Amino acid sequence: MKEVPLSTCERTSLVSSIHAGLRYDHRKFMEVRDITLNFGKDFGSCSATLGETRVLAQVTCEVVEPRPSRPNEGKLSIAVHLSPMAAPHLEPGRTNDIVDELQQILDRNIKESRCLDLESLCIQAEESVWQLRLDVTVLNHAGNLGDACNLASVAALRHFHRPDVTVEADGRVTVHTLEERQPIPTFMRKVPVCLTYAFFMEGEHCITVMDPTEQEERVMCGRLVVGLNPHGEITSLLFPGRMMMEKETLLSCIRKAFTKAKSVAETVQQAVEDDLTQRKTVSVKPRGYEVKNLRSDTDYNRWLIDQRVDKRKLMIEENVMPMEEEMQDPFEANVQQPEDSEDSDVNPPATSSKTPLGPSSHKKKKKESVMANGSEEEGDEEEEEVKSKLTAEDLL
Amino acid sequence: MADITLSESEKRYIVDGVKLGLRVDGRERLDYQHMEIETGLVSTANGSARLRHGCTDVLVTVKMEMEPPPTHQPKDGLINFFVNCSANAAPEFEGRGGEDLATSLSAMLDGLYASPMSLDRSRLCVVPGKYVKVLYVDVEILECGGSLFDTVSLGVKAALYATRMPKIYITGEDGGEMEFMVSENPQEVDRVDVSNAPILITHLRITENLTIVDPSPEEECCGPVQVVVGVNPKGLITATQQFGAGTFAPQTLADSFKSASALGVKIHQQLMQRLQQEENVPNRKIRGFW
Amino acid sequence: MDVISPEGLRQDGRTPTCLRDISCRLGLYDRPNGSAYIEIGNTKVLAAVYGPREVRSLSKQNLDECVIQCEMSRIAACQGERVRRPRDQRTRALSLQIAGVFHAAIRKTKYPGSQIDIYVQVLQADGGVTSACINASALALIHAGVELMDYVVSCTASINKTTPILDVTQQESVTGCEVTVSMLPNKGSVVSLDCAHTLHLDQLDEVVDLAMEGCQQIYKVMSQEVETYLQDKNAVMSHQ
Repeated sequence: MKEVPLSTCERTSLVSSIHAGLRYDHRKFMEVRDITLNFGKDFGSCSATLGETRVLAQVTCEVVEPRPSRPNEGKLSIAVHLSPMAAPHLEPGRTNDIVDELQQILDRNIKESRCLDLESLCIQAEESVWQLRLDVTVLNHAGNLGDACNLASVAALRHFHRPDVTVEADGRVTVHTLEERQPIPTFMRKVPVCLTYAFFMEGEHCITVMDPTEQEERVMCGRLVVGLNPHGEITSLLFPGRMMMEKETLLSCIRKAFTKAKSVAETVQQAVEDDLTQRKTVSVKPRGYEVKNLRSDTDYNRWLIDQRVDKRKLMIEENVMPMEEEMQDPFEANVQQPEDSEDSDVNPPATSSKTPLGPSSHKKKKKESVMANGSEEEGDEEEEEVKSKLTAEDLL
Repeated sequence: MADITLSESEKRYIVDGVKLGLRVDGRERLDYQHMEIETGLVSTANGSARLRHGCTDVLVTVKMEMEPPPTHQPKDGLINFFVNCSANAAPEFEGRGGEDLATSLSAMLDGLYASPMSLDRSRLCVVPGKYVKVLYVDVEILECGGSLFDTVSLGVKAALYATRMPKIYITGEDGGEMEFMVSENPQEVDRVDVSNAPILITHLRITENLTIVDPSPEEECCGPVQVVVGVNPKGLITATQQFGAGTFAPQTLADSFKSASALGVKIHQQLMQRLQQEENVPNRKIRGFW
Repeated sequence: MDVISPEGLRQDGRTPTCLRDISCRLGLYDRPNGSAYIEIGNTKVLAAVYGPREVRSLSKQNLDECVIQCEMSRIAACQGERVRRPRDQRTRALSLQIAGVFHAAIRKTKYPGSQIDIYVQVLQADGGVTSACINASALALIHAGVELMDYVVSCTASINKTTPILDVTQQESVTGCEVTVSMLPNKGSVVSLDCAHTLHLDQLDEVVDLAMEGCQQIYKVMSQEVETYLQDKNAVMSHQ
């Protein structure tokens, strides 16, 4: 598919609002969008969102022979995948330019900066080492793919735990499963962070904007990608031309990036540590990615329920529909169970009218925000019952 | 091969000239253009040669590596050809545009050197069944003019002649693995015997029964078909390949083979003479691209 | 092995702020509109420019300005180890960078609806490959007569412990970082800035400054060569 062209008035509007000091999403010029990191069921799987841009990174490992020139070091290979899933105009074949650049950024920031201690991945010198393979897939392209890919990759690498190995006396290598032995975390010396600046020229004056969205990327004049770590080291610099800049402007951008890098690195560290501590708690089993679609959105479901309740109230008043208190809906009962565990103090009358069923017990563990809807409704019992029935029916 | 458009009158001019025995640049039907050869330009390769022939510029490098031989030929070394038509040579070679031409060139070269008579590959063997020398011949087309096949084959022969492979001594055996010592002495080298290596001669059919040798890009547009003949120094024909959509009358074809054979012998002599002359120049300064 | 010996000299005998020998030549070939060859120490690069000419694929055509494309490739023997593929992901990324540099430097509005192709061939790589490619392409564009805002000159610099060094070779860049700066020498503005491997923020200033000084020196050599070429051509043409 061809990229939807940006009309001249859209272009002019974007550029002139930037010149006037405003961004479309009301951010300040040096403000980065919200970063959220979600970790998957396995170690080393991370989905990072930077505003609307979403990238998934997965780390896998394998035992291989080391490179003859470096017999004591493990291997790390990074692959970036960009498909029409990210944006409809990104067709395979035509995306080469973007993929090459992302690959270059990741290679420089992660591989060449040697932030990951490859020597710790060695099992037997010259015989077997771990090869880590990092696959980065772009799920949604809403601008600034470089930063998002870097975030996801770094978080995934930090989160990754490799299986423990024992080397027998005769040289055989046994790889233990995750249940047998505790897996070993990877050691990352310095956390590389990537920050992108977009430049807009207004005559001779240059306006710098951080973390451009997709629209801003289409109208910008030039771009600077800085890879650095909180220790003050620059791991990569990419100013791919397309405009002329004064040296001072570039250097000042790079210096400002340093303070931002610290906060981003801290966010990543915090998120990884939180998830790892959560995993350590025995009762909590990792359940994979938090599904954030419409159906699980609290506000949307509540709105839906309100709508239906109002409609039914109307119909009941008009004596069109009978009340359905006596109906034993097994799904309803299941729905009620999580309410027990969460808000048993708040709604004891509601739960007592329903008989619990056996198979519903496993649903207790589900902490989907969907179920929380029903528990939050307060009001008369009748309404509550009707509402809870509706919840179940709506979701079916 | 190169993208040139000629008007009908220009084509007529060329064809009529050939009928009268005169080509556009003043050559006779069976005359070759001026050629410039230089060897030893690339210091990172075991052997290299650059050949400038009319509008064609070719750089050939030879690198030697040691690898285990294929199981069905344990005592013979290998020679591997790779042709790269880069976009410098002609803009239509951008991306993968030059792949067709590159494949046909490397296939032709493979065919030329396939016979044990052309190149004695048993001399490239180090340890039968375990290690043999593999010669990687990489051809870079820097500028694509006419008669590409001729130039490439001459370049390959010159580069192979200029190849200096360091002598390899087997020092011992360590648990099944052989240990080698590669000589660091620049005087202790192995050479490749190219005394029987063939070259290619291109005949382009211009009119019904006349062919010309070494066509320029403009002349290539006028002729419908060309035949590439591989000739070895003794005048024997080793390989032939026809290119283009057209036919050859049997007599024309036979005549082209005869003239190719005679030409081939002469060109071989001249080439070897010049290469030996170049070798004997003391403290030769490499001219390179200047 | 130390990059800088105790006497203060590098492995090839240069001082830390000394450039390698540069020689360049314009107009090697007739077929391309412009061609140039540059040798910076042991790095040898050939560049050819085709254009401005008709756009090959109409989907890429831009009616306001010209389209600039670059393709870089390496010969198999450019490094000690044989290079298996002349064009791979790395060369593609570098080609994009080179194209980006000339996007800023060429007066694109003078050639609307057309295409300028820059083809670069690396014959020998010994450090500073990107900058050699950019310098060769600039010379080839000048030879082709394409309008440029200014010369485009590029140079590499690095830092060894605390000493900044200019124009690094392959060996020197393995142990340290390699910063490539491309600039327009008369205007003094930077067109591209590239850093491979790690460099400390505090050292960035002096490295970039040194690279820019190196660019000015290279500019002198390049402009001298262009003038000599034009004088020769003038002599030949006026003689006719």
